[in-house]
Amino acid sequence: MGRHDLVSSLILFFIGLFIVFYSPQYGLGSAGTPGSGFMPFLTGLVICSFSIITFLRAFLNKSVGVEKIWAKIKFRKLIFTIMMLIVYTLLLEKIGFIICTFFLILMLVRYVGSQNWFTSILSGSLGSILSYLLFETWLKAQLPKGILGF
Amino acid sequence: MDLLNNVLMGFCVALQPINLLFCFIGVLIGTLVGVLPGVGPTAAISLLLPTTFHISPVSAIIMLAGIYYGAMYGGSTTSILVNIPGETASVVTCLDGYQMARKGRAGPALGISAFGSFIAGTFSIIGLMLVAPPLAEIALKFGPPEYFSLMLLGLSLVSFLSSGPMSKALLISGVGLFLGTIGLDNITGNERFTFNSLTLMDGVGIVPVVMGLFGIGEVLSNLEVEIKQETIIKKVTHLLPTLQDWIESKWAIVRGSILGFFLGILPGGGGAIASFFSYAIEKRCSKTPEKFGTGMIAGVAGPESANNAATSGAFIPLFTLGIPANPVMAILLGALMIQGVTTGPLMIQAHPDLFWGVVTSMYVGNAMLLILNLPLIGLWVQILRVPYAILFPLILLFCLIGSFSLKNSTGDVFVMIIFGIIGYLMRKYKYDAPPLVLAFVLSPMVEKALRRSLLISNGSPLIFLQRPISAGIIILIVLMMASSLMPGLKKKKEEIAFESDD
Repeated sequence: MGRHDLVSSLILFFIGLFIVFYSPQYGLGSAGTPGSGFMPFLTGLVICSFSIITFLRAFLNKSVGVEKIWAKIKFRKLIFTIMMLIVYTLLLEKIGFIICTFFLILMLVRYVGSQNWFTSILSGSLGSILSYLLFETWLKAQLPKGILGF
Repeated sequence: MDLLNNVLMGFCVALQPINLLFCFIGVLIGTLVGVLPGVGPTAAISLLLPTTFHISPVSAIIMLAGIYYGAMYGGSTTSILVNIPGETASVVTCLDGYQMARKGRAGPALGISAFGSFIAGTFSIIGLMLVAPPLAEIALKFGPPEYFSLMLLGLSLVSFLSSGPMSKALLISGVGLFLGTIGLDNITGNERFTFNSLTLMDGVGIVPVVMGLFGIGEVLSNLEVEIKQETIIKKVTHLLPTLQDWIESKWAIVRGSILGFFLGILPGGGGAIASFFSYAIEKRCSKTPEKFGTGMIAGVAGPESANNAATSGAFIPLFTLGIPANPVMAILLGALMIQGVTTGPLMIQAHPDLFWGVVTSMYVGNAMLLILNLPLIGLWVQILRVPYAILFPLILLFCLIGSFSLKNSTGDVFVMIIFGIIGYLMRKYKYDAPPLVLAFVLSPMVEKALRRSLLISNGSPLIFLQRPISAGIIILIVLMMASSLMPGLKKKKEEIAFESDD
């Protein structure tokens, strides 16, 4: 138990609170005939109660020192990878599977995996072509064709 | 004699060439994803789900089930040879398995885990045959209150067994229950928390959630640690365990099989928990507990048997009650529904060929794995030689394609990326993913059972205590909660749940 439990339980408490206040508009119904908002309302209460318990446990427990969970993070790699995933998804249907996949693998292998250009281009080409053959040709997954037309 | 007839019928189905082929494909893919870290059986099954729409329900379920138990075999191979668990269920196998391999005993370690898995698999398939039909009869008497209490038991159990404080596990279960309510209300058809998004109208999908939390989440958290390429044991000789090995591990296999089977049946149980428990028990039963972690064969045989027994056990709640015990079963439930098969107490009677065919195919599949795995170990080791820098983009790609191909829309891909980030944060802030996933999977059923129970009782929550079976289950839950407050037991629980962080 450390300071991070205080943070996470506080965030979850507010999410729970939001759910509790937002769900009645779907109709709580009566006890005998619960409405659509009943179950979300209940889960909101569950989230709120257990986040309070978690918060109090973390707050009352002062014996353990603060654990630095963000100390070793490589933010650049993390953010870059997430950005690449988002860009890939945004462009997938417009540009097509093969080109998008080639660049996704190329960028990740080169800049996150820190491999040389040759390895990156090779992985990008092989990865995109083989996965296309596997999923599109063999498994008939209907991947987006995009500007290349295949 | 009924049982014998049914088993014979099952074998007739399972041994048809087409079903043998699908069983083979299933176990082969299963072993492959078991070997690859970050890609679990859930991801593989959901990737292959669309391909099963055109084949018969029996063949489809045979293949998908094969992926599930095949992954358990594959996971142990990498644990022993490279010290990287391919699956959560084989995390403990690393402890003694890798040590055995370093002492030049990789062969017997792989051998005993394959044989142990086979024996345990066989045991639990027989258990499945014996337990499922009578349980289905009992389940016919279950009404909404019993279903509700039973699912509550599953949720409490998975929180009870998770690592860290129980309040955090229950908190994250609450989040899972909420996520399950997003989308159309399945009783009135009202939209809830969709914020006018078409993707959310169908609800948050199981596949994007699981792939995000486990696949993407794991890759993201691996980015910050330097992946050490552990020494790979290249030479594997003497796969057959010696007589001494058998003597040392025979009781571990027996205990692991029984424990795994029963933990598998419980919703929220499953392979990972079974293997942790089995390791803890072997350590306690051993005359030389201090030697565990240095290459004790019982520490490999027990957990490996337990996780395989648990996989067959997990089919019981699905086939008898229609309750999925874990995400894999939830996807199988979806596959059955697409094929027009209604699960629940009547399934075994209505589709005997499906039930007995799938069960016996698991037996055939276990035999295939035994034959397949030992000679193919060299090939699996080659796959692990691929550096992580090249492997992780491919794992991400599989997840992207998997979530895209569900509905051919990018909406689910975004849902998956969001859950990838959530999964990463959960690892950082030490929240277990299994309670969230189980709560999410069960949420629609929990809601239906709760609302129907309240309709029956005219709004009185006492109905859960007035019906005997339901009351019994509720008492069990209360006892479990109370015991978690006892300090001595809490300590033991923490010993067992060590490192089970996903």
